[in-house]
Amino acid sequence: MNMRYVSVSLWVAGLLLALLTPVFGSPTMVDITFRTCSLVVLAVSWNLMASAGLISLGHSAFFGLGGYAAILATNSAGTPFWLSLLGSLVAGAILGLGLALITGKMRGIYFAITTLAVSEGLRVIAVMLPDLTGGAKGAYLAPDNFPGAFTVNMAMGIAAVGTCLIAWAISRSRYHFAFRAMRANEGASQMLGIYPLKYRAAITAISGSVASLAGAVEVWHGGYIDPALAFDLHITITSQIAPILGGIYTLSGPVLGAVATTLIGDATRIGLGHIEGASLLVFGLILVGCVLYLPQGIRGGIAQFLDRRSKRSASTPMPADAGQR
Amino acid sequence: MSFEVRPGQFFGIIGANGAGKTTLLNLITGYAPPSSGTIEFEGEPIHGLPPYRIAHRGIGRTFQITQPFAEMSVRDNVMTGALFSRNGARRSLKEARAMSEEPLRLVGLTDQADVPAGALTLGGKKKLELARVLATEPKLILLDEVMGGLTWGEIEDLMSTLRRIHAAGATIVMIEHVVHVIVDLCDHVFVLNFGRELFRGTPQDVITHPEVIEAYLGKPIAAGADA
Repeated sequence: MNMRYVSVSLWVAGLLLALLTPVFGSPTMVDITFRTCSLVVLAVSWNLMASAGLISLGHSAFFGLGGYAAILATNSAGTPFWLSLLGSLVAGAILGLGLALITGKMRGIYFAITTLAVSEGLRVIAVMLPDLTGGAKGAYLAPDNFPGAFTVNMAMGIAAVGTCLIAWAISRSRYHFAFRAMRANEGASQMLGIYPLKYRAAITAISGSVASLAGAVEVWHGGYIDPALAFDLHITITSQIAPILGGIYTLSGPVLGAVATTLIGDATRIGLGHIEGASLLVFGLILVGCVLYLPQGIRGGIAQFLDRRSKRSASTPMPADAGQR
Repeated sequence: MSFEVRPGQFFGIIGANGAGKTTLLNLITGYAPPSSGTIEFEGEPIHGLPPYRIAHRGIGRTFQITQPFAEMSVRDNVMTGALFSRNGARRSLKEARAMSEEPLRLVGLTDQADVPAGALTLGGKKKLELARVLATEPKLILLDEVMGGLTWGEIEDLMSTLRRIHAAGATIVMIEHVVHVIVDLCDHVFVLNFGRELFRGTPQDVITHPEVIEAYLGKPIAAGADA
């Protein structure tokens, strides 16, 4: 049982869960799957930027913008469900492009702080424009166009699968080389002919558009949006906890992390919800433990476990690049 | 200061620490735009262009302090050179992979192709710098102390590699502290001292020139002055 085998079966299982749960699942399962898929989209999106050396501290900016784009398009112009999602994708891509252009050569903490500022800025704008956004009171989705809960749940499943496919396609393309080179050393990468801004703009646009999509589907799911909900710091934090917990810079890591984060969060909430603060405390402790004992995330932990087992049974050496995917 | 490198030359630049050798390379490759003066390549001005555009013109460069992409494998490092250089946009990953074989073989890293670049020794990283540049198919190669940190055996190997690269038609400008490497390889030598030209000529002229010896070793001690 090698990594490839485990990896393929997990991907297939994930794909089936994402797309079949809305059809066959119980309401609880549908709910958990919906939230997991939403986090998968955000986590993969965050990880895409991180893979190019761009640490985002403001993923809720894309999430919230997508939510507002969808609700405004639908309430003001009667835009149907699928078209509103497309609008959110475009809005997120534009914000991503803008972010790449504003930040220019900023790296590391400077880039991170800018993303945080963008997210806070958008939240303030949403509060300050009550005529457009409903202000702090928020806005309700006009129910005329509601396509039904099943369609919305299905859309999140498709979004999660689609986001993973995009990440997979990137990992098999020349972009994978440019992003890793830029992450390691943007200066030296230029001497090999890489124009960093081009690849930055590409990845922030892609990452931003899918994160916006998650926000848009969430709005259709909840039917309500307000600035605090849309640009919630919690979104920003979970979008980076999931990939770090699962395995940063990898394909499967953000997905594993999203599943784990959702399940651990639910388990502590249900198990310890009656004691004030205990669920968050335990959730936090589990995360700290994971970071301490699984420095390469869940994905790295699985790889290590399988590696040890295969060494014990038959000492066949693993190819050196088995840890890449 | 003004100098010219002709196609096919093997051009050496020497100078004491702080003479401005690396600064000179930074000026040529766009990492530090010149405040005045001009730099031309193949008859066209290139000063003020960003590094990636310099690279697209066909100028390749290694860094004195090696800059490997540590988490990428050695082969992926070299493939990056093949993918984004002048003709890289038209290349598929498969073609880039095939193209990376020759540079890896030339510098002797074929056996370590799948190792993460960060795990290489200093000597290995220096070789990787060279292999990565070769994969960009440069017309002009600027080498910033590629020999630094290598053992004598490795230096001999790398010197024969550089001779082969030069014989294959590349123009090479080399900064080097190991003087015998410069004397053996180069046909022209340019000596820098405190940002200015001190001397230029053939390697033989340079190592016998009194001012150069003085810049490197200091004034000869008068016999019996300090006994």
